[in-house]
Amino acid sequence: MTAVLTAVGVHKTYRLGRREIPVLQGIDMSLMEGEIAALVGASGAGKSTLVHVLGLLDPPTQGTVHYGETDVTTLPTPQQARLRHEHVGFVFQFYHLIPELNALENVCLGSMMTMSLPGWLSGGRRVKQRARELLSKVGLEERLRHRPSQLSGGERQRVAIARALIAEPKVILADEPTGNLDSNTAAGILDLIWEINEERRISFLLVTHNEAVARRCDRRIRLRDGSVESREVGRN
Amino acid sequence: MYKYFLAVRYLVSRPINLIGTIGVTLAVWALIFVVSIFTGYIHEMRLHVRGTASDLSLLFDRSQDSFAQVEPLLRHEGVRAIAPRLSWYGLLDPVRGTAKKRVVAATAGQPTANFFQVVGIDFAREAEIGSLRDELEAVPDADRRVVDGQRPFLIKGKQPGMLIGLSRARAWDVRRGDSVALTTAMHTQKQKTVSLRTIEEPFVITGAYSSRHHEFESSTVLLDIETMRRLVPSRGSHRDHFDEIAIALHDPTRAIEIRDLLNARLAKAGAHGQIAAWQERKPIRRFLDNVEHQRSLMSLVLIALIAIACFLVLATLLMMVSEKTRDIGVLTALGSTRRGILMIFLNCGLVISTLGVGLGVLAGWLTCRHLNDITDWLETSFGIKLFPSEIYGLKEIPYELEPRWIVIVAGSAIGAVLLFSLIPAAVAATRNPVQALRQT
Ligand SMILES: Nc1ncnc2c1ncn2[C@@H]1O[C@H](COP(=O)(O)OP(=O)(O)OP(=O)(O)O)[C@@H](O)[C@H]1O
Ligand SMILES: [Mg+2]
Repeated sequence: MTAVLTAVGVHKTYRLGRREIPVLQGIDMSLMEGEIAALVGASGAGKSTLVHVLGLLDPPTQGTVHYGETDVTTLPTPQQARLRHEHVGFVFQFYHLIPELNALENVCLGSMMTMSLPGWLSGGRRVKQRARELLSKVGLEERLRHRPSQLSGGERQRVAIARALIAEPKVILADEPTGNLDSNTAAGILDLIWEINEERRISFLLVTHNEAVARRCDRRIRLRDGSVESREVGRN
Repeated sequence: MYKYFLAVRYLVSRPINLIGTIGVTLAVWALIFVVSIFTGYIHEMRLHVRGTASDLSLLFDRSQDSFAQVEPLLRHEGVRAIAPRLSWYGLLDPVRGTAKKRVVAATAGQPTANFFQVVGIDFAREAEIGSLRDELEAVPDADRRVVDGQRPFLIKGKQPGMLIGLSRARAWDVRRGDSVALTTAMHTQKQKTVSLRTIEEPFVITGAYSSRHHEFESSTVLLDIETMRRLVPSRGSHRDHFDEIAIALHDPTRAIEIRDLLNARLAKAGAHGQIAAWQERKPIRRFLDNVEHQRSLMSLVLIALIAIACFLVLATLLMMVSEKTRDIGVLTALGSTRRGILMIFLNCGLVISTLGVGLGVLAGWLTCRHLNDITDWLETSFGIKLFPSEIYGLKEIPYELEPRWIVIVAGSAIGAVLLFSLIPAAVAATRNPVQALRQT
């Protein structure tokens, strides 16, 4: 099995005025191809911070992040943006859809990032077709033209998952994707994640506070005081 | 691609951005409309002044030289026509002429005697210089049009003929065949004694001329130069004196070159005058400089409008950026670069400014084209006179839409708005995406 995402000795320290707040203190971890790993830990343990560092949204204070074999921490930012687009997808607790765009457009946006205007004029139809397929995959074929404000929380999260999928990433970093949903809706979203993982061999890093969900994952990574406390292999 | 897409979607979902667009529209509209009127006015004035002043004019101190002597010096392949003139001033009183009853009725108690410039012209030559022949034929009133378009001063009887401005003739209700009295005075010198000689002469109106310029029409009368020479005698022994020679050129752009050449010739021959290009003549130049100065002042004021519009755009875009902070995080997560984020908001500025400029240019063009309809309507419905013709001396409000000016206005408005949009765009691009994402 090969690692799709690796963190080596990652430190992250925030600076508040003269005070230094060490959040991550030497994280070593990797995510294997096709696995779903849970990232657990108390509130404030640094889970979201780690997700942001792994997704190149926040540079580590120290240490390196690797996508496959490549050390991506030292790359220039435009190249990082490109890799972020190609390699990782994000799903957030609060969905973070663009309120002005309907479901279909929100999903297409995930593909527009690297397209030029002429590229869109010639290839836009294909992108839209794919977005439609993905939306029916997540069960929203009837909601294509709905704005986020016209969708329920669970439906919004499904749109966000479709958006993360359209650029065909190797990894999806999901920061408490069900944190804002009732248990039934949450179960639906989680089933969808497992289904996608089966079908497309996409790896997931799933931040969760729910022990049952964590147990369902292939592996659990537990954060405590800024470092990885334990790696537990799941039952299956 | 998303940079254009999102810019447009952000804008259309926020009607508040219309404020910036309308601001730009108003500024561009005012800049085009007001400056076009000024330009039109200047242009009209030049046309008018040129109609009477010709391309070059040789200004003489009266009666030092004879026209027959000077004329050969002015021959040049670039010169199309030359015409001598002799001017003086006087009071013109129609009440003392034959049209007494009518004039008294028409002017109803207002003083009728008026101060005029009296210009003596050689009609055959003058008609070659400017548009005088047309100005005579253009008179619509049959009883004020000259009988003989080739010899407009010709009249039976002893009294000499006079051409009067159409608007003045109408105001006084003076018609062809009426007589008016011209009263004037001048110093004469015999040996060492200087005395003031007063002249009072009756003239017969042989017709009216119609020019573009109200002011000119109502204060200038034309006589045959021979009549004028009798009234204003020469100081020398010759009888063909003049105080100005109008010179028309084939190619007006050669004015300066030909002026210098002819001046050199005149100096060599010992003539007394100096040739000036029409725009160099002092009163004309002062007047035109003045109007042009006003135009630049006005554009300065109007440019302040663009600055205000820029601040409006700046404020609305800054608001939008702070509203869109979360989106900035999302877009970064989806793979957008900082440059991409910058471009989204810069494109917003571009859309606002091009839309505003487009509407402004259109509005400016439409107002100019229908300006006279608009002012007529304002006058008939509300009694508001925006451009009283008495003040401006023109019958219609002139305008001139200069493509160059429109391009300058449009370009600088778009440029200025873009420059100001750089601020919110830079604010957006330097937002920390992580902090943006942490906002719930
Ligand atoms: N910009 C910042 N400046 C200073 N401290 C920060 C900053 N961002 C995060 N922190 C701190 O880092 C720590 C880790 O935050 P993080 O959001 O990663 O926790 P978390 O594990 O995701 O918690 P939760 O489960 O509640 O989401 C917190 O103590 C937080 O206060
Ligand atoms: Mg968190």
